Amino acid sequence: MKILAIATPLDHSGRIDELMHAACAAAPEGAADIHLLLTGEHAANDGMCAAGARVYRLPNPMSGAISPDALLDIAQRACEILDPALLLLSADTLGLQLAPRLAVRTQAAYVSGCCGFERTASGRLDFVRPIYGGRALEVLESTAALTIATIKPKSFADSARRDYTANSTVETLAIAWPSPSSAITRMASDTPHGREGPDLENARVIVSGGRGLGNAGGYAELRRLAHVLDGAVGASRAAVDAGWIAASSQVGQTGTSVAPELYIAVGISGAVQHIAGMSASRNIIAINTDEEAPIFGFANVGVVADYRVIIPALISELAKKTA
Amino acid sequence: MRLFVCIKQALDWNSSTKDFRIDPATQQVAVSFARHRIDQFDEIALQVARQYRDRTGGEIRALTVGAEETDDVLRHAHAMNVDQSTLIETTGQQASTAQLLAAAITHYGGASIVLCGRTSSDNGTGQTGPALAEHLGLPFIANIVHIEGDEHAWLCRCETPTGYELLKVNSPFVASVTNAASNVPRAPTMKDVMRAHRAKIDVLAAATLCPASGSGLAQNTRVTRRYIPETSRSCRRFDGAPHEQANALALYIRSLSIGA
Repeated sequence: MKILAIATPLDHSGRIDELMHAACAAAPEGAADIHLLLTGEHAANDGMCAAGARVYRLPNPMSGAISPDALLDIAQRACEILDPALLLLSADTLGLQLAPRLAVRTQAAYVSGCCGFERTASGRLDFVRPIYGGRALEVLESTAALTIATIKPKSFADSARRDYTANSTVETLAIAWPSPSSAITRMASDTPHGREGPDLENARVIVSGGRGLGNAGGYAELRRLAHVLDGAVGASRAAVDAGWIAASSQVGQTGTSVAPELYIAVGISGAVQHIAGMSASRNIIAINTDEEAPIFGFANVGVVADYRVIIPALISELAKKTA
Repeated sequence: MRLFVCIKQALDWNSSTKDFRIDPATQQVAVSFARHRIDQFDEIALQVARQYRDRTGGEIRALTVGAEETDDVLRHAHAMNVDQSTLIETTGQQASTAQLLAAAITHYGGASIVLCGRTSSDNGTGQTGPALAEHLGLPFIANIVHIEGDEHAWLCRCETPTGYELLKVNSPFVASVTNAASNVPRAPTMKDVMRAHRAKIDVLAAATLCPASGSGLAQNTRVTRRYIPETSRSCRRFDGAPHEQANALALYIRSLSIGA
């Protein structure tokens, strides 16, 4: 089975690793035919872990931002040239808009946010993806010649690494660079949205606050704790709607989905929309005054307490040990 | 100025998730006393459309695809002040949702702006907007939070992974909408709900819009199984005085090799 992964300019090397892990997981044992197309200004050794994979670059990529429309044309052309049975993209802002459009153009099956593969007894590759915000999983069979799957971030991060041997050659794929779309012009880019510390998606630790904080001032304590743990500050929708913190800090189904090593939920009751966005966290600590709060049902560790007392005490405990 | 907002019905999370399970026979979600309402993501799209129309003018038509009883979500759209609404009535497996929406928009003479939710709270594929853009041959813009301007130059504020950017668009477009402090949906008043109850809902038959004879109408994936993954998380409670609790938490955090 021929597998083509396309790394967009948004895919940093960690993401490319994940795409390669996913490709290895999908490939039949001992019969990997994996191809990787780098479309951005990726470092020369990005994707090298993909040895065994053939790595392609595009000729003369333009510098600066590439429009999604241009990437779509490139992806379509790459499909025509390489004719894969499975095409992988990251399930990020760019992948999630490119893949469905490409699927329409190529009459492919589309699997959104794929988090695993299953091989049936007959050797067919099925696709696992979360539904209902991660509360359930569904297994899909593709009935098309080409299947396009977007790979949910972090799903394949820890897959058993195959023994990669370094691949030193990078080929050039003869695709003419499309002319930039005239319909859309970028006027002003990236007003940072005022998130503090590391960004939510990549943070190892997230300290998140909800309605239970009582007021916007509660985030000062959370920021102190996040600072000590080198983490990011998140929020539930209730806190965002109350105007206590920027919408960009929102974790949950309508906000950012996160999967940190440690998630500390403070004054968060555990509404399903919130759980959907954080239940993949490796370890969860719940701090809440309401011992009946549903969040305790999802946490590894819980403390029924007032955060205004516990968090300063925790900060000084953590400081003690490092001193 | 013709604005279309594509909305769908989804399980109401706030009222019906206590006994969320998958029925092994039907592979569908089974919830006792399930309540359905407009998907939370689509409600945000309606809010952005309404803010734009109220400032700039134009007409909003809400579209939904489903069986007859799905028209509840269109009543909700009317309560949020859309001007017209259409139920694309399906009777079994036919064309894809994006194909049906594209055919309906073409039926009404095309769109200036088409808005969809960023994703949905049930299937969560986020594919309808981009696929719809492709069927209509229009550009697609992801994660809009606000729209200004007119058909000579629309200005769209969009969320990016690192912040916001401002895009100028000079052709009709399809966009997905994401939430921001500026577009929290306004709850309808009782008067809005009463008015919505009397609103006329147009109906288009899916079978007429997209006759099954066309090619490429098949759904290309099939669900073989749905299940709820087992979670082995059981919560360990730390009791005692606050300093004891804090101490236990600190030990736990250190055991994860964090905060060294």
